[in-house]
Amino acid sequence: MRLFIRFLLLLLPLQLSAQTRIVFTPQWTAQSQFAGYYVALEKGFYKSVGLDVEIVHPSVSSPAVNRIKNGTSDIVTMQLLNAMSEVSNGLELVNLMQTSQHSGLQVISKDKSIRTFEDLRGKRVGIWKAGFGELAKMPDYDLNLGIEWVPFIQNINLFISGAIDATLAMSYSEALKIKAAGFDDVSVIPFTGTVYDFPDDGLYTTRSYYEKNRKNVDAFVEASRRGWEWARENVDETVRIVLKYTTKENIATNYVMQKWMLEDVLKLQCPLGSDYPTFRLEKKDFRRLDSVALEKGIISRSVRYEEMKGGVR
Amino acid sequence: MNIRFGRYIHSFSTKLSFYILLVVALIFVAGFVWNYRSSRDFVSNEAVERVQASLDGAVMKIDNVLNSVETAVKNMSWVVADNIDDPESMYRLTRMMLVDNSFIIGSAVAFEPNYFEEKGHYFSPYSYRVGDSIYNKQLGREEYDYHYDDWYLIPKILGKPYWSEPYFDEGGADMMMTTYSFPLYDDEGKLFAIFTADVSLDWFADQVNCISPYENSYNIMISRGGTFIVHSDKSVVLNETFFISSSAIGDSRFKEVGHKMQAGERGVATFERDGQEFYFVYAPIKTTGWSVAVSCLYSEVFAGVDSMRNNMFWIAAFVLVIMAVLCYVTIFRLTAPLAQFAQSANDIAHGNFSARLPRVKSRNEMRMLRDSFDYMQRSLIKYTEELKTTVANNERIESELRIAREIQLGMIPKIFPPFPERKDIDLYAMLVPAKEVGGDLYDFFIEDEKLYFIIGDVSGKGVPASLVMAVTCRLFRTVASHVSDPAEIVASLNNALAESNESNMFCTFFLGILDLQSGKLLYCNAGHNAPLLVAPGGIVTPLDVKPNLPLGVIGGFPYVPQETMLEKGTLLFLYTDGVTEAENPAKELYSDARLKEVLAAANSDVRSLVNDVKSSVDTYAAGTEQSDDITILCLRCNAEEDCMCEVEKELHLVNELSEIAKLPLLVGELASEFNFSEEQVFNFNLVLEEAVTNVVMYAYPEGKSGSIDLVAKCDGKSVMFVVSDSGKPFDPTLVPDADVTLPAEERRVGGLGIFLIRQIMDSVEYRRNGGMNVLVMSKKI
Repeated sequence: MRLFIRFLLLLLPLQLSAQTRIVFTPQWTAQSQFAGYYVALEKGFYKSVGLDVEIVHPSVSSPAVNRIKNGTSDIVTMQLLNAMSEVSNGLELVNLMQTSQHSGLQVISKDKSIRTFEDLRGKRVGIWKAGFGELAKMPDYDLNLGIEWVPFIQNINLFISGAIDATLAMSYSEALKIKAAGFDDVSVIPFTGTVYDFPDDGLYTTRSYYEKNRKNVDAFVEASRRGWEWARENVDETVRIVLKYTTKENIATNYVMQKWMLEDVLKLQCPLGSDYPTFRLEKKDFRRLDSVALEKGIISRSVRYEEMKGGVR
Repeated sequence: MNIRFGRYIHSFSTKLSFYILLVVALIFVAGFVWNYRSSRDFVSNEAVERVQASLDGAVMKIDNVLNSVETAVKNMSWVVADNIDDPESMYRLTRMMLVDNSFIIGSAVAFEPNYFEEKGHYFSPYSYRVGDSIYNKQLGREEYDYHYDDWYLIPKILGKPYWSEPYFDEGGADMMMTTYSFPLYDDEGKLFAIFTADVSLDWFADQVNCISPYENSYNIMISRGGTFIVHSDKSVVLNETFFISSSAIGDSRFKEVGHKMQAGERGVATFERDGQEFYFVYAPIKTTGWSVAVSCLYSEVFAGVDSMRNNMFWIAAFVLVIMAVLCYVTIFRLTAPLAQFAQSANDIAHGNFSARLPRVKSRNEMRMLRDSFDYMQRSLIKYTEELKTTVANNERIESELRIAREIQLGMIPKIFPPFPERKDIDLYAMLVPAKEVGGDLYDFFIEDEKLYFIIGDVSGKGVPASLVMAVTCRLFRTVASHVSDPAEIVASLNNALAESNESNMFCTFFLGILDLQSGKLLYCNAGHNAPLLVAPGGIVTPLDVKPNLPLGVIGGFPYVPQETMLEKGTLLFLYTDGVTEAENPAKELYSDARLKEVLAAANSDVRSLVNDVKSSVDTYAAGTEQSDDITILCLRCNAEEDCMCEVEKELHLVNELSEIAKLPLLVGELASEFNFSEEQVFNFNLVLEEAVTNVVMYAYPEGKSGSIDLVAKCDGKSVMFVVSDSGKPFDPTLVPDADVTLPAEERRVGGLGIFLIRQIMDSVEYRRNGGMNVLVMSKKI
């Protein structure tokens, strides 16, 4: 009997260590943009589905897409267009969950006379070097604006210094930083609601990883979804959770910033006319983006919806 | 208690003290407010200047250091250009930067991609300080494309040197840094590298934190992007911006100031936060475009002023209290005598002229008041004494005048009918002086069956006139007893009066002598108004008179006598001008016409006629003071009237009640001759009994015997009883009638007798004649 108990006790840690380890990498440094995943981890949603999730943030030298390619990360977040681009280039990615239904892209300028894309003709406009800007280049392409794109790595200092006429910004990130820097009287051209408004952030993994670990991946998606839902219900606590990660990652930020960001991110999750997210990638949106991206040469070939289908349907 | 309190509240000293204090307090408050405000303004300006001075000091230090870094980089840039052919020498140069400038903790020459073919895409020799050691390394690599870093990209695009936003260096120094980037261009003007110098911000933060004008003041430094470089809360440094700090979120003005700071402006703002006001003084660091601000609490800035204000308040309060006490006491002492004066005035008003006055030592208005009071008291006492004397004198004079009036009136006959025993003459007269004594006169007497009568009016009134009147009356009696010619009498009187008339007084005078048997009237007028004849039927005519001169005007004036016959039943009405010249309130005269009217309508009885005239005059005057003596004499001669044979019986009694038994004899004798009825006999007996009983009972002192004479006359038409006695004067007609309505036991003693007599007889007259009481009672039968 005593032996049996001892056996059981020996089994217990074995049982715990039997949790599947998943390395998750969001596409950017720690911030509210990925709040749902931090919440799922902090609140034990991953653990409760038998997952031992590690969140590893990307670096300049090791962006999320590289990490998924070389297998150092199992699941990543990516923008839909980037993912399609990768797929068209031969990387087999599966969309597990579509968090953002809209593009948070904006063009912001201190020059109040800049009010439409047309006004950007021949202007010097900041763009992320890390490559979230393909979508942003579409109006330039369509309208043949001849914009001089200035890539930047860090944040809004280029904009503040006056080195550029306008900058691309995410409504949940750079736009908020510009506001925080005291530039609240600026001209904003949003992409939301325009023909360039496409689904953005989503959760991806490789086809092969997905095939091999389907059950765990589905569990991860379900727990992540729970994380997002919890975040929507508990904004303040969520922000505090996010701040734990930003501090850990030495990210210069603050509560107000992260709260603003979370609120915006949660808004972008909802389809037009709805107050609740579906976390689903809509086929028509996908097809629209596919044809636009193909036309602009952002993707080398048309990508079929079914190629990337997986996760939340 | 309430009354005392009210008096206290309304007292002079309380009110005056209150108003003085009110004014002083207002002045105090105004001065206080002005002083406090100006002090506050002064301190505020001084504080702001002081804060600005220390702020400017710190900013200048920081700017100096930043400038020295800029200069060092600029100077070294030439050396870099000179050694451009030797890429490896760059490490030496960057190292030199650190060696030469202690503020620089890192320096790099970051080249454009592939500037040196052999060095490839990334070449950025970098020296950095760790502790006291300086290390070298090459920054650029596949994973770190510095070409897109702010410090590289921004100056490259701007084409000018650039101070980076502060950042936290995780590389090795683990400190807050900023990087000065200086773009280097080749001879063709093409950018080939960015030369940088990293500067630790710790020293700057220390400089900013050194600004401490007040104990609880705190300082911030923000970058161009509003990021906190210095803040009392270390956790917000580099993490938060000015614009999302709790202050800015709560107050848009704070945000505006933030924009001004970003714009490189300097200034002062005031804010309120958590219920505390504070100054916010800011100044730019020109080199980097950052801004430093110092915030100081009002409570600290104005601590001195506020404590001074509090001290001043207490001093002012103290001074006011002292003033209140002083004011009250002083004014109370000054005005205290007023209340005593009020009491004294009351006492004086109640007749105590020697009421005690308050003592006033000081020589002020109060003393003047006291002196005036004192003078008033003495004057009052003196005046009262004089008044007493005057009043006594007046009383004496009045009393004398009263006596004079009595004497004067005693000189003229006043008993009417004057000749009750005579049927041939009816006469009634009246004299009403305007003052106590008057100058009018009348007189009459019968001698040798002739009636002598006069009326006169002495010029003027009062005592002088009355004296002349007295003389005239006396002279008339004296002269008339010897002379029977009216003109002669008048002339004698005139001469006598004119003889010693130094005061030029005169007397209008009318004298008539009526033969009672013939009705012939002799008369003489001396300036008097003509008497009126009133014939039966009411025809009034004036008696024909010659005016002549009044008595006493010219001695020896030849007065002319006149004569006329006085018809039977004709009234002769004599009067003085007091009648016709009586005035009503409108100063209109009574007039002859009005007199004639009254006479025409008057009763034929002389007494009634006179009274009618007098009451008419009185009615006309309606209360107007009588200005002249009023004298009326009216007579009627019945001379030719057929006289029935008259029977006269006499009875002499002594004053004993037993004598009453004799009375029926007297009545019986008359009754038998004139056939009195039984009732008449009874009544007449009763009348005589009562009259005689009165005399027996009261006329003589007890035990003294006296006589009572009775005369009974009857002419068939009327019966008259005359009861005379020589006892003490007693007028039974003055005894009031007994009140017969009262029960017998309550009636006054006496009076019943005279009441019965009056009830039975038509007239009852009493007069004192020659020491005799004469009671005349008559009745028509």
